[in-house]
Amino acid sequence: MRLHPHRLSCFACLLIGLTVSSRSLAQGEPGDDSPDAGQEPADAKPKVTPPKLKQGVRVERPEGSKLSSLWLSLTIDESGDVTQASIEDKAGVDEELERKVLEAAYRLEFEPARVGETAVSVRFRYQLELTAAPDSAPSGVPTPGDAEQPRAPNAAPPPKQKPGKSVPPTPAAEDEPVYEATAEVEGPPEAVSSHRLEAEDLKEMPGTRGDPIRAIEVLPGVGRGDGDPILRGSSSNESKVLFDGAPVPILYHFGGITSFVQGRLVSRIDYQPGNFSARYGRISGGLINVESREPRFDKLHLMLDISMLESAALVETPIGKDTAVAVAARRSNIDFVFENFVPEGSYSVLAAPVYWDYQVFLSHHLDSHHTLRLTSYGSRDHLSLLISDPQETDPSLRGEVSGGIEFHRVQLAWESKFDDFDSRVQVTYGRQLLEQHLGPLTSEFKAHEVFARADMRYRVGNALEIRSGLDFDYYVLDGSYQGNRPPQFEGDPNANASLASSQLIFIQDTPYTLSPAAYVEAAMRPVDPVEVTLGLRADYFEHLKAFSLDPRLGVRYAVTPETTLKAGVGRYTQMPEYYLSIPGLGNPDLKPYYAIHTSLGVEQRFGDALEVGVEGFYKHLNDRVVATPDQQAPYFINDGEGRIYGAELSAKLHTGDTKGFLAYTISRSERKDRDEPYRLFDLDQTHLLSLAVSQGLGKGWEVGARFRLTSGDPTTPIIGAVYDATTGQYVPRYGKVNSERLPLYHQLDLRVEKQWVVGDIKLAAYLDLINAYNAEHREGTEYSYDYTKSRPVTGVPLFPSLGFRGEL
Amino acid sequence: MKLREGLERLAPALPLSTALLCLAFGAGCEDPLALPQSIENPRILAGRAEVQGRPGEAWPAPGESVDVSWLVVAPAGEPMDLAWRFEACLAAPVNAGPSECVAAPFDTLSGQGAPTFAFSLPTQTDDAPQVALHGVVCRGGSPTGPESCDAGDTLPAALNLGIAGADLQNSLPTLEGVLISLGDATWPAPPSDEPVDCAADQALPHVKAKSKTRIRFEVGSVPRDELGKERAGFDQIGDRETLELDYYSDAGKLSTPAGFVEADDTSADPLLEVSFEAPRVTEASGRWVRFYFVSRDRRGGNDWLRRALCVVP
Repeated sequence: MRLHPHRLSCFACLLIGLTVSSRSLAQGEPGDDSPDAGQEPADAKPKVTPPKLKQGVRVERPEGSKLSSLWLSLTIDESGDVTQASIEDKAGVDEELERKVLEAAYRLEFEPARVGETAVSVRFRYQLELTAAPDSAPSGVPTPGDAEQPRAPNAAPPPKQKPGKSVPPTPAAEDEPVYEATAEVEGPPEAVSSHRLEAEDLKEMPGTRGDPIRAIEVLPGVGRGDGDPILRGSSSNESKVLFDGAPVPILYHFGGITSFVQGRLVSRIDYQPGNFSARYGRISGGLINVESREPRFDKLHLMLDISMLESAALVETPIGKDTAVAVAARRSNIDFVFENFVPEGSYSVLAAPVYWDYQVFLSHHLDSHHTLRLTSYGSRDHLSLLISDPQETDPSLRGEVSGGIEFHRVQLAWESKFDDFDSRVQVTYGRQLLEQHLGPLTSEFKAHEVFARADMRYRVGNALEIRSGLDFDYYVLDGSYQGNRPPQFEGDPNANASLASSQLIFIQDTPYTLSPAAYVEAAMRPVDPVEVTLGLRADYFEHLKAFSLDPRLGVRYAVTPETTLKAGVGRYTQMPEYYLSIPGLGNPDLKPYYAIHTSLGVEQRFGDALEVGVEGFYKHLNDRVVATPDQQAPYFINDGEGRIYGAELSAKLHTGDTKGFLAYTISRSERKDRDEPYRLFDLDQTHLLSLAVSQGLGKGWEVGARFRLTSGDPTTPIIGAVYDATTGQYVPRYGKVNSERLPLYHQLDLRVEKQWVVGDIKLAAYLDLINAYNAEHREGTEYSYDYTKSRPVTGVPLFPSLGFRGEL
Repeated sequence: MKLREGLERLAPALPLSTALLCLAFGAGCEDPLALPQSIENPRILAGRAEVQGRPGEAWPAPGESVDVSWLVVAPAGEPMDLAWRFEACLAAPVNAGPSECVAAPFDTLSGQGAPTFAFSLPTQTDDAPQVALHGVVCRGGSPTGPESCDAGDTLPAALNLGIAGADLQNSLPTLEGVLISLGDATWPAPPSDEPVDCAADQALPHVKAKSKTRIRFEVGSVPRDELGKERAGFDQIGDRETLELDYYSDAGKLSTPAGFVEADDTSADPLLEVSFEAPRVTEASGRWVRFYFVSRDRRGGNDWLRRALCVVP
């Protein structure tokens, strides 16, 4: 038995790899003679036991087809019967084969999955081997998975017959092809408020241009931000995006074009907008955890994807028996478009916008319990323009306007997995480089960062699981900044003042943040349908000389197998952004601020195809960092509050070839600065509605649509302007902060993809239509130099993106 | 830690994504709604403060008096039906915009006609780094509050001045010695009385309608202070003042609103240039076009020059 590595989330996911020698099966015997034969999957006991195959089936490979297997998505009910089946990837599957496969899938028999002793309905991924046609099968070879040969409950699945490879009549054990199945059994999530997007959900989501990370935009509580998403009314700097456990400096290239990681290497995304585990800290908002998958161990895989926007390549290959590597790289094609199609005007392009990224994943299975993973990834965005004349509304915008961000990471992780104990220890070192030039205003910084984690999980019997770990975060900057003195930003309309009318400063410093943390969490099952998770996290913020203790509680109550009630409450401490405590720029005596998260909800399954969730939440923010009333030293103080409350509805449909997501959130996010009354948060969006549907049409065609509707952002009216003779600029006078709103935002994105299979090569052409009906989105307001005239600033119009992809 | 986010917050820079969108799709990149260099409404263009007894100095020391004048213009020239009211207070800089009072105003000044007045700084300034002037100029009305008028055009304005000390001085960026060329000829100051038929007076500078003419400034004579460590809240970039020269005209189109001699420009005789596109003119008498050139050191030191030319058909 070999266990595939996986993240250490107790109830969230159980990933089981069953690798069973087929020798005994080939000889018609149950079990095998390997040391692991007959063992329960380690993660399956005692709490969650995955389904076990009782009765296999046989499906012949069509003549001329080179398909060797198909991944099926099965729903297996409490009695072990398959109640829903679909083919995950239909490339190369004609209607006749599809019919045969699905018929066969419904004849599969399993022992049901169990949570404790209770049989439960689960979704299960199953790799169905396609056998050679009878007339081409080697004589004397037992028919794999023959439905006429019932097997014992723990019997191994049928042997794999690779296309074009004959199987010897009496194969030696070491030469035997291996059958491998991977099952994912969703247990209760680690966080009370949690949504998971699996790879299969992510690949073809419309509106994402094939970028799976953008799929989070269809989840409840995800608002439109200025790059990074707004989670449940918290600003983007109060939430965190983790990639394999380490926070990432950017999520999207150029603030929103495409994410920094090759989507086909993403295994899943866990979205936890609130009440998340004590395992995570230093944020008061929400969490997005992007997990990469292992490189594929079976054979060489190649992928090339070219679109108007970018070109990407992916190579995966095994290196020996226990090691595999995946290398991906991507570069934008926008500079080509710029250089050839964008006319020159009042600027000249010194360096057209270019982004690139790379990822290298190496996985080595030391033995059946231990896996070593070495990961490296990086990204760069850069743009440089030469503005020939000062801008009318801000003369500081003159000369060279350029910016770039670059980061590189290397991560080493060691995963261990035993029956009652799992652990993952990882160290990530990163380097960030950032430069911005705005005429005479410049900032250039380099940063070193180290993130280290050690997470352990101990299972103590059937009713208790202990999770604990250490979490270390170190970050040091070196560089200089000359620009405007930072205001409060959120809630301060003057934050967008022209540089020419701003007070300018010069800072050269080496600020750092050092924050070790430890946590412990106990997941208890005092009564079988009730699960209680009690956690405690301790953080120390060395640069602030501050300590925090965050208790967190989550309760889940399975009223019925289909209905689960859930509730959570917890404290979430966050340190102020680093620059707010730099002497001279901010207040070194700031202390961390914190939020209290509460939530109450219900999850309901309707049959096997539909899952619905409803959740209410309330967050209270305490000790928020706000500017001093007179904007004088110490410039920032912990004298703000906030409250965010609302309700979310989510639905997930997966039936046959149809996948759908629906999310609606109604909420209100408010802030209070000093002794002023509550006002709306800058990015408060009362209504958030997302609907995404994709439909397979057969013969390699798939279509999808995504619709998004959100309230417009609050705005502050300008009620006049004063001429500042010192700078020659008009300075606006504002009305009540955030007392008006931009119009409703709505957008429909469409995607159509056609796949072909030519031998072992899968080809695809796809067309994304972003903003398909060319809705005019008002994203802001542009004013004349004296603020007497204005006009709307609109967002991206209809944007088609055509691409081609080839995979081996 | 998100370095980019932190620094983008520090510098409200043109976000890369915005720039990309702007360049790729033209979003928000249309022609400006109004050109600041074009005088299309009554406007204040500058305020000038000069210490009494210390000509050429903009910052008063405690107890000193300051002469203040404001340049107010309209498309038809400089309006005369003005009324104004200003308050002077001790102040401190804020993140953006005019400095704010840190104490009650120590002087309130009002009058009619061209805004010109004098005030005296208190002898005790209580460590306040600056003095601020806040007020309003009304055209066709009278002031009713700090930034309001009862009728006509309301033109609120402010000016910040440092408080001079032993190592704190600010020379006015005086344009008195600046040589201005219109095309290849020296451009003299305009006559005090505006001509009725400028086309007929060959002594005045003429340009053809719709023609483009280069205007050139030799600004080497303009004082640019070395900036000491203490900057009285006027935190500029670099060790020397950046000189800004703003261009205005009441007809035609100047190619750019301003020119700059950057802080690191060490040339002995820096040049600034702007191109003027003359308006369409059909009247045989020509059109008298007024120009105002305002120098700023962005520390409260301002000065200006007037020029004019005749655009002929």
